[in-house]
Amino acid sequence: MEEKKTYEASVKELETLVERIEDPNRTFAETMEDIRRGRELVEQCREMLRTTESVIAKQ
Amino acid sequence: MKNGSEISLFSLCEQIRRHLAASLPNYVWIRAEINAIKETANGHCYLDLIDKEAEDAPLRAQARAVVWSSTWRMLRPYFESVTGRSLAVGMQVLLRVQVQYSELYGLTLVVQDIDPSCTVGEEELLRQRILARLKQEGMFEMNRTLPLPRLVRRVAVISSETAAGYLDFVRHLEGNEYGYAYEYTLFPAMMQGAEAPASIEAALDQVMAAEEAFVSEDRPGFDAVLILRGGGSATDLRCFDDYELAVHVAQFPLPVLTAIGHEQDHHIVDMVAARYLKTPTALAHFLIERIQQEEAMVLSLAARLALGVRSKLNEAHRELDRMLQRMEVAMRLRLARETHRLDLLSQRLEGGNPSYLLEKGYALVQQQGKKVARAAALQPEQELEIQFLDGVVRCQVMEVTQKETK
Repeated sequence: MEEKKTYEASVKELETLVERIEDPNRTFAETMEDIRRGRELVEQCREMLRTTESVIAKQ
Repeated sequence: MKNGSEISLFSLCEQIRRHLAASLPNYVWIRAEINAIKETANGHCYLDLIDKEAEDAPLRAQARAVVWSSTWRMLRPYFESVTGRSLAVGMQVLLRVQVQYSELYGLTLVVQDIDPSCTVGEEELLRQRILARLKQEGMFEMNRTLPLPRLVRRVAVISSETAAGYLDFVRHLEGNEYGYAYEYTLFPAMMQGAEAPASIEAALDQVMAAEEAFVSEDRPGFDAVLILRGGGSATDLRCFDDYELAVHVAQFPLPVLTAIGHEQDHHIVDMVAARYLKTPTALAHFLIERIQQEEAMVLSLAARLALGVRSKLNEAHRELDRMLQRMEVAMRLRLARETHRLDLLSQRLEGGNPSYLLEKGYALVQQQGKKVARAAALQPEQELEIQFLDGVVRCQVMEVTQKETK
């Protein structure tokens, strides 16, 4: 099971993925896999931001 | 010696008696020192009186005196009530005497009255001499300089087990309304009479031995030593003016607290002790009040501490609130920034997605898995893969025609 990453680590991986996606030398399949992973990371990061926002709202 | 001129002893003594009776007044006041005193079973009191020019000078006169029982019954209580002492050897006395001469018993001074003021003066003189000596020897401050613990709870009590003063002390201490617990150990001693000083000194030695045992066993020792006795006659309490006892108390290594006699009594031992209370009951109150004051101080400090802590807590809460507000603002900014950052990343992510182009009918040309973006990169007969939305077509380059550049 994948260990839950910190927000910073997730964003850092996402940035790396985006740079890779923009690399013309990547194959179609690799790009599509990067996009799938990227979408997953975007969702995880948004979830973390939503959680933080709800914590602040409760104060 | 001529015959007929001699007289009998009796005749001589008879002449002496007549001459004395004729030449002396009925009574005369004499000042003398008692050299010996004896009270007989039939109630008479016999005295040997002496006279010296100075304390260490040789005798210059001595005489026998008698106080007949009828006189002695009145004189003794009168003398003792005024001086606080019984007639004793070494005491200076002023006596009204009648000179009697008996052919059979010789010269006798028959005591008719006594003036105690002379003896009181002597007693006071002796007391002043002791005080001066103790002062010169620095005894007054010696015990007083010992620190008295803030809480005096473990005490050694020198008293008589059955003395009313001791029982008063115990009753007040144990019945204190605050419920303070005290530990007191009685070291019995004689608390009146000539043997009392030595007895009290022996008790002090026992206290010291017990204290040393505590120290060797690593147990807490006594906080102080108390010398107690209730009221009594001046004679009873005279022992507390004893020089040796005063020195013993002054030099004792623990604080000594005294409560001897009535409110008006003040003895030399009181003066050299660390503290002097008027009565045993007053001493018990002193010990109780001392703890009460400490307790009040501790409670006051506790209240101030609680107030201080409350104030600090309130300040800390306010600081936390301020920090929280700043944190909320910072976090909202950060969230907005991160959301924007994620949006951008997501846009870039989706913008790089070739599926959108394929959906619109475009196809992706690849050669050995690598994208081919230029016709010039190809040669006839090379194999290509064309990626459509719904599949891949493998094909071969027939001809390469490059767009003319102007």
